[in-house]
Amino acid sequence: MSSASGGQPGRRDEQGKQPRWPASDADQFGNTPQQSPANQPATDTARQDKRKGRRRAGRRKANPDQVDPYQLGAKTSGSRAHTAGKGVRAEQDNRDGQAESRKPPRRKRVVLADPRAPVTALRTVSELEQQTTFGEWLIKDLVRIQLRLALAFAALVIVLLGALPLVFYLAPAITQAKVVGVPVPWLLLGVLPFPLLVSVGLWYNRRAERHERDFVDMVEN
Amino acid sequence: MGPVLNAWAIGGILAVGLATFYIGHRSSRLASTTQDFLVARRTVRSRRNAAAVSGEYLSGASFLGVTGLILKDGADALWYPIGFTAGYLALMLFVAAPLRRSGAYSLPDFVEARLSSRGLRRVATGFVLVIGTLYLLPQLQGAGLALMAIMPAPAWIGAVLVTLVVVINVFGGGMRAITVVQAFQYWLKLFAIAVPTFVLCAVFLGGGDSTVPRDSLSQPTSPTFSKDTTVDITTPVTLDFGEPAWVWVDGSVSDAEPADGPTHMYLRGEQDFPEGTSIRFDAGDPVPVVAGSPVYNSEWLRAGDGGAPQMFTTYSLILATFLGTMGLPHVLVRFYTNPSGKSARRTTMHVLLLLGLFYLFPVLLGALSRLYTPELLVTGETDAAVLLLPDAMLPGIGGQILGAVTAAGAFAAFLSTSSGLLVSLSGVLSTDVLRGRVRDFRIATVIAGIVPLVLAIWLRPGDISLSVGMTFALAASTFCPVLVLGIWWRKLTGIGAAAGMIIGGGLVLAAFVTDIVSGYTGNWAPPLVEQPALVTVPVAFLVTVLVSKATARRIPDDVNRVILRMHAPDPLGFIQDRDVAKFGKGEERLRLGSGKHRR
Repeated sequence: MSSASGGQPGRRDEQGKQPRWPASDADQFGNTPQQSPANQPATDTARQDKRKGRRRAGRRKANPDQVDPYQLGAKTSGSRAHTAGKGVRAEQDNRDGQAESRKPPRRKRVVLADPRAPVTALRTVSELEQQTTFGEWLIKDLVRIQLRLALAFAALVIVLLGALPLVFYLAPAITQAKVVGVPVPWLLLGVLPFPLLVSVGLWYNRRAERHERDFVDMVEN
Repeated sequence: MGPVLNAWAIGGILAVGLATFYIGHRSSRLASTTQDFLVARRTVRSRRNAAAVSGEYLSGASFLGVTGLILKDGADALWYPIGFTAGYLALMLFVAAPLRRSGAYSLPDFVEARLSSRGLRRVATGFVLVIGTLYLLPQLQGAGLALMAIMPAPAWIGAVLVTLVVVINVFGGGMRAITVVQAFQYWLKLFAIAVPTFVLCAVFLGGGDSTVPRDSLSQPTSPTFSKDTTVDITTPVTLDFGEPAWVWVDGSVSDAEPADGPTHMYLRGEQDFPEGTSIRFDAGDPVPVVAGSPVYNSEWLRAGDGGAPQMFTTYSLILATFLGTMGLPHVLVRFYTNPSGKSARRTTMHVLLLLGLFYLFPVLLGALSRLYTPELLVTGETDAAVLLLPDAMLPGIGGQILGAVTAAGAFAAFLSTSSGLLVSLSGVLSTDVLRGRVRDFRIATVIAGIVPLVLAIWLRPGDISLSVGMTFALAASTFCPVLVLGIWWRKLTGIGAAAGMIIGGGLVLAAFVTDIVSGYTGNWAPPLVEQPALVTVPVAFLVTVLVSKATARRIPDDVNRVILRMHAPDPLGFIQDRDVAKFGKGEERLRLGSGKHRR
């Protein structure tokens, strides 16, 4: 690409005589006749020419038949650099302008970033990744809340189940009692712990997932 | 209790073996890469993974051992199923999601990723191998015992059979193959314990065998024999005759001269019986029990009957099972197969449900076996209760078929747990000792299958659940502190973790050896030695924290990054990169060398 934009003047001279470029690229340089007249009659200051040349280079990069937009898009979503994302968007605008003047191009999917992590989120995510003070604080807070949640649920179960041996030891009368013919300890130990454990697990799972969802929402907004 | 040749049961076992083999073989065809072999490509959905985790976790100790312990110890043994289940709650609360997000593929790999220390990785590898082997031993020995209970066969046959099926399966497809096998085996086990329980409860409620007094469980008497029974003593035992009884003894008894031929004796209190003695009881005689177990039914029925020492043993057991589950390498390795941290947590949720459902049944069977198979109390082979109960309650073809179903379930239990253990052992062996290629995984599988097999045949079979209990204590005192502190505490250092693991694990192993020695020399060890977690777990935590504080300069540089990766919710996408990039390709690992590549 850079050789093409650098060699602008030389190319214009040779135009019409013989194409120096392979046939497959013919479409790409179908641009030049349109552009050239705009360049030719103007009071050619060097500065202007340079600018146009640059813009044309940009346009050519965004040519719809090139696969460049794809690659750029993919790269952006991978590296999560939001500045690069803006660059791609600018080029896309350029391309749209050009597309009107040409035959309608085939539809292309331009991936600017991962749909689940929009550009606004990327800033926070990269703060998390780069361990800035803010990012660090966010993570510390997340870990603290998750730990507190887990400890609270563990304490609940430990109090409910862990107290039983002590209760049986201190109040043996309970171990003699019966409910519908079944001794109370067998009910307390053989049946009830399992629904208890399942419901605590269900409850914790719900809380933990909600907290994670809130955290993601917070990061992405 | 002579072994009865039960053709149905043998058919059931063969069917389970073949089904296991077929399913494993079918899924093996999809397995080709190291990822397949170690973590099933990390694409197992949470429900199937939960069934696989439960299938793997419900070992012989759960299928046979829990019923046996309840038959022997009564209400206090109910803590085993509670602890086995509650362990998953602890796993869910503190470990599941962060562990999965860490992107590791084995426990040693997690330890190294978190603390960037090769030395620590080797310590962890050592403990994984010890725990895995210790856990595999009772599975193989249990298979031998189970086979002996249903057919006349030497004990090693069962162990060899299980090893063979499992090694072939794991050899062919590693984790990819056994995921489906284990999920299948959970449902098989649930069926194999639920159906007999329903039928036998119906028999019991419908009147059933009129020779058994149905309300005797709450009476302050010993259980009684329902028919004339001859018991052969194969290992020396001390029996407690709570109610004195007239019995025929052929051989010698502790305080009597050995006589020629059977002698009619009046026995009371504790009596020692050497190997080779046989005792004949008449129907209606009170059943003596192995010394140390509750003698009277009313005692058996009450919880916390042993006073303060019993209470401490119970707490020790609770601690070991509650915290030990998260340190079992074969359980953890299944959580690495989930696609994300959230699905790992959901898996644990489903596991709680599946285990809770399962454990209702062994409890019922334990209570029934106290009534119908009390002769097992004399020999102490209470683990056979599930296998023998159907025939004792329902003589005839019905009982035989039910017995076949439970025997098939028991074999499914041995097979699935052994395959899980074998995969985790071979995974660690192949990536940490060998070079980590698929071929190494297969070599490791054969090694990890043969070594425990030799040990299982050579060592004296212990009580399945007790040695499993020791394994839980070991896991709780080694990996639990490293996992919990590693995930939640930034100031953990490699030296602290290593010190905690070595001291905690060393204490448990010392207790284990003491317990074995005391078992051979007259049971002098205090109960704490049998279940040492109440001491060793706090010590391990304390040592880890103190040494980490003392070596605070050695906190790894990337601790914040690792903590971020483990705790950031999945949609933020911190989890995805590591797995694929660094998967244990032997050549790459060697080239990258010192473990720095993990960043």
